Amino acid sequence: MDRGVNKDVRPMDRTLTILIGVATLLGCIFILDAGYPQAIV
Amino acid sequence: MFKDWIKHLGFVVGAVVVYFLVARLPVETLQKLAKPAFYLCLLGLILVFVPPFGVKINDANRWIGFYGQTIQPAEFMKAAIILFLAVVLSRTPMKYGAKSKDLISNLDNRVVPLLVRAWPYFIVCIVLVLIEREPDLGTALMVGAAGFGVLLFSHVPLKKLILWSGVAVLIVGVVIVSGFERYRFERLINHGARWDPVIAKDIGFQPTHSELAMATGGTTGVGVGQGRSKHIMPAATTDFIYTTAVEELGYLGSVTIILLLAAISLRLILQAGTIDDPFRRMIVGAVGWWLGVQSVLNMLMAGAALPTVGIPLPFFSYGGSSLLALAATLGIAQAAIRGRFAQEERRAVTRHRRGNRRTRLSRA
Repeated sequence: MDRGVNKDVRPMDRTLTILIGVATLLGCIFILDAGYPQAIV
Repeated sequence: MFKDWIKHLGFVVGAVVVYFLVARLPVETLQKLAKPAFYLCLLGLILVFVPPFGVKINDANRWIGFYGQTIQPAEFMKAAIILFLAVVLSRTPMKYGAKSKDLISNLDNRVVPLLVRAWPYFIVCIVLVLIEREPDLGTALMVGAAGFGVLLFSHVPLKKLILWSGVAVLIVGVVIVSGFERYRFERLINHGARWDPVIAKDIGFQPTHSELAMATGGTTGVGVGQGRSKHIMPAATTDFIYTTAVEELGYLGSVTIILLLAAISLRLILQAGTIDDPFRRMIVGAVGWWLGVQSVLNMLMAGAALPTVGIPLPFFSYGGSSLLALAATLGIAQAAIRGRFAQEERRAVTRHRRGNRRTRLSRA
């Protein structure tokens, strides 16, 4: 039995997830800005 | 008023769900799903040409209609091709036998292994031709770049890679010059003369306005919301979103975006360098490579250093299929990275047990 190996607690690359989140958020802002010029003045 | 933006937010929520769901998949499941996903996307690429399923927009057959929504299978093919080629290249290839004078024996030992080894690449070529015929050369190039990324992180010798890359570049050149799609050739030959008053009003419209807008931005930009190019550029929210960003935030803004995208791409490539398992290494490395290539090409195109090609900027450009496919691709990369930790944990446990056993044996 593989005691000590819990498949559910394997870590994700958090730094990568944070970078992806920041990029997606910036993307949302720029799409709003470029798509709806009157929305951000 | 904000209908499309709200729709985009919906896609962002969907993308977050897809990212975390896919990231939790065991690597073995990714291996099992690789071929079905690839063939499903291939079926989608065929269906875009079949009228009841395919939706034609602006003379392009890129979408499949689905309950009032449209899906672009070529975007999902970027993830599928990475998985497919990683599975193919991580398996031991059929070896060639010795040459013989006997025809049948040569067929068995030489020709059959050659066909078995070559068929996945043949299907990849069909995929690229189908996407190019939509017509969508930009996405075909990006799918090709994603596939090349897998080869780059595989055991394939560098000499072979350089040789086949040369052949691929030659084929792309022939496709552009051949006149299948006349506008591509015109964009290429007229790119140097894009500031000519006649050309600038026609095919030079997007690159000249984009270049001008980016130059207007200066060091700190004209200010958020103050950009002018977004009012006249036809693809301001998609392929040319980087133009608005640079115009409004200037050089500093553009460097920030470049650093952010470079950090994501390099993080993946560096992670790939630490993974021993070829399947996982190829996936993580290829995703990082593809993200980097697509970002660089989009930025060069927006800055008019390259002729206009329909390549979206990852994370920034508007597009549901593109965003969901990007989330799935990054989820796959995360799943491959997570697999690495499980492998390391198992090794650590094994080392620990062996260590205990040895200690007990030496005492005995």
